[in-house]
Amino acid sequence: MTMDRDAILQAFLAQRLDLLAYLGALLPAGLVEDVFQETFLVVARRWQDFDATRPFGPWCRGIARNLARKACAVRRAQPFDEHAADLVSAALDTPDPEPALELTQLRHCLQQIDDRQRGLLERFYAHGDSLALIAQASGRSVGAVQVALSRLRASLLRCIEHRLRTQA
Amino acid sequence: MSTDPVEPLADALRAGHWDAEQAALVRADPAALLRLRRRLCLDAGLCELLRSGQSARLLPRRLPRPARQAHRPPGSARGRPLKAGHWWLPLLAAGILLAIALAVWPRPAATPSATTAALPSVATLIGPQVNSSLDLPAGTQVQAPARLRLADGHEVELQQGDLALAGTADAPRLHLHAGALAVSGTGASRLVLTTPEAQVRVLGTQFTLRCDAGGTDLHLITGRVGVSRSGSAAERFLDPGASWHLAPLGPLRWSVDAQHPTADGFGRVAEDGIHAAFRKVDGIPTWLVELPVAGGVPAPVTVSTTLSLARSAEIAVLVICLRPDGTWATNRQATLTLPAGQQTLLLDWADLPALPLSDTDASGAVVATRVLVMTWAEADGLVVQRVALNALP
Repeated sequence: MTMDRDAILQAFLAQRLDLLAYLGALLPAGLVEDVFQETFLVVARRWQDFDATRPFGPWCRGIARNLARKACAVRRAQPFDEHAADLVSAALDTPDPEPALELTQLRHCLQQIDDRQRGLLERFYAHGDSLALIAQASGRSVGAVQVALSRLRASLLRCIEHRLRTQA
Repeated sequence: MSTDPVEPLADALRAGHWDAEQAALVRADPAALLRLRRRLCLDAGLCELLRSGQSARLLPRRLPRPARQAHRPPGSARGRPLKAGHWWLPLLAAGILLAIALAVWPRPAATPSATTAALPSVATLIGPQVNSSLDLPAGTQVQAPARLRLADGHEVELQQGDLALAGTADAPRLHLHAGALAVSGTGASRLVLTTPEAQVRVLGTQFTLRCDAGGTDLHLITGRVGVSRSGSAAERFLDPGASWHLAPLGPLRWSVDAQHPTADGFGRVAEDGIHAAFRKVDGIPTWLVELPVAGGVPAPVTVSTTLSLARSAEIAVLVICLRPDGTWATNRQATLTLPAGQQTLLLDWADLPALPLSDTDASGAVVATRVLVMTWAEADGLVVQRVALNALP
């Protein structure tokens, strides 16, 4: 069984968020985008190496893992954590009966939260501030910040699920 | 708070130190693994949307451009691989970053460091955050508010945005991606200011410059400036009191460009006039250029890539057109052998229908389509100088 190049590139972009989740959990923020783009390029160049009888996601993650390992070594970032990579791969290989998260839905749900909540998410996700730093700046405990973020994420997931079900 | 190990484990993974016992618990439980999967995907989605100001990125973030190495906060720096034997570069870079951070961040005076002085400076930061001056080398990105003095005596007051320094002390080049500044000085100068769409040659003058998504605006107070669209040789000179507006190339006014075809006979849809991004990917030197096209891609189009080769080589150009939702609309790849020297390669897209690829997000804002152009050669010696998307007349 074979897949043509177009189908492979489409498949790659279809599971973009999974790959970003994989890299985001394993690499410093500054390396994620570079390794993602490099993975895309390697997939575009080596599409003929893909064995279509095997799952596509793990093949891409294998390429991403090699590139991530190399990026960590060359750019003297933190050492690449092979055990963490195995764990994250196992999570991403777990089939999800629910529809995959869509950025469009998430974008909409982000508009439902207030400025304070958004500010918290931005500090954590956009600026990469640690929980301790956010806690210090806001005069709260680390645990309180962790709980606030956890509740926000749960509420976003509920909002996304609701929208997906409504649309379905 | 719940005792679910997934949330703390995901936080710990992000922080780079996780607990093996917690991980074993999650691994043993398929439901927990599924929750971890959802959490990691949500994290990725939030990073995507929040880092990009809620514009859907098709490939994450901007592509790196070596010509515009920006000052970034420590810990977020990205860089090209270092060559063996250049072990001292991180130390030097760290010293420079520290010196610049001390100077540019709003805190009391900073003292110029020896490491900064070791590199030839392009400009001197003279205020407002510093009491003493600080020489800034090429590659520095200065944040507003800042006042710079150049070797020829001209002063630049950066009021908004970031300013990237390039060139040399004798011929400085300053790039304003978005923001506002004022230039004052007398006499001749070799200062060149660029914005995403414009180039301004300073000829002993005083003026204000502002650029944002709507384009570039220049108001000349005294003296003289030569202005042109980036990449164009057609320069015009402004008289005191004159104002000049240049629309951006990105969100394209296609009809305007159709009426004023560019020198190569095609309507320009989008272009990257700055030396493109370069990275070795999988051992292959690769040039990557990402062109945002907010107005959609008309048909028929060609992708023109101006490049130079040190010697004859086989090169490949891969063009991918990506919709705002992350799916790709189409792609083309060409592989051909080119002789040494500079040349412009036209990749014909004439057989494709128009691609009205732009979209609006929930708030009604236009989300740009992106055209990604990747060029590579098996051998070293390829330099991509310009990539443009042209509409055939």
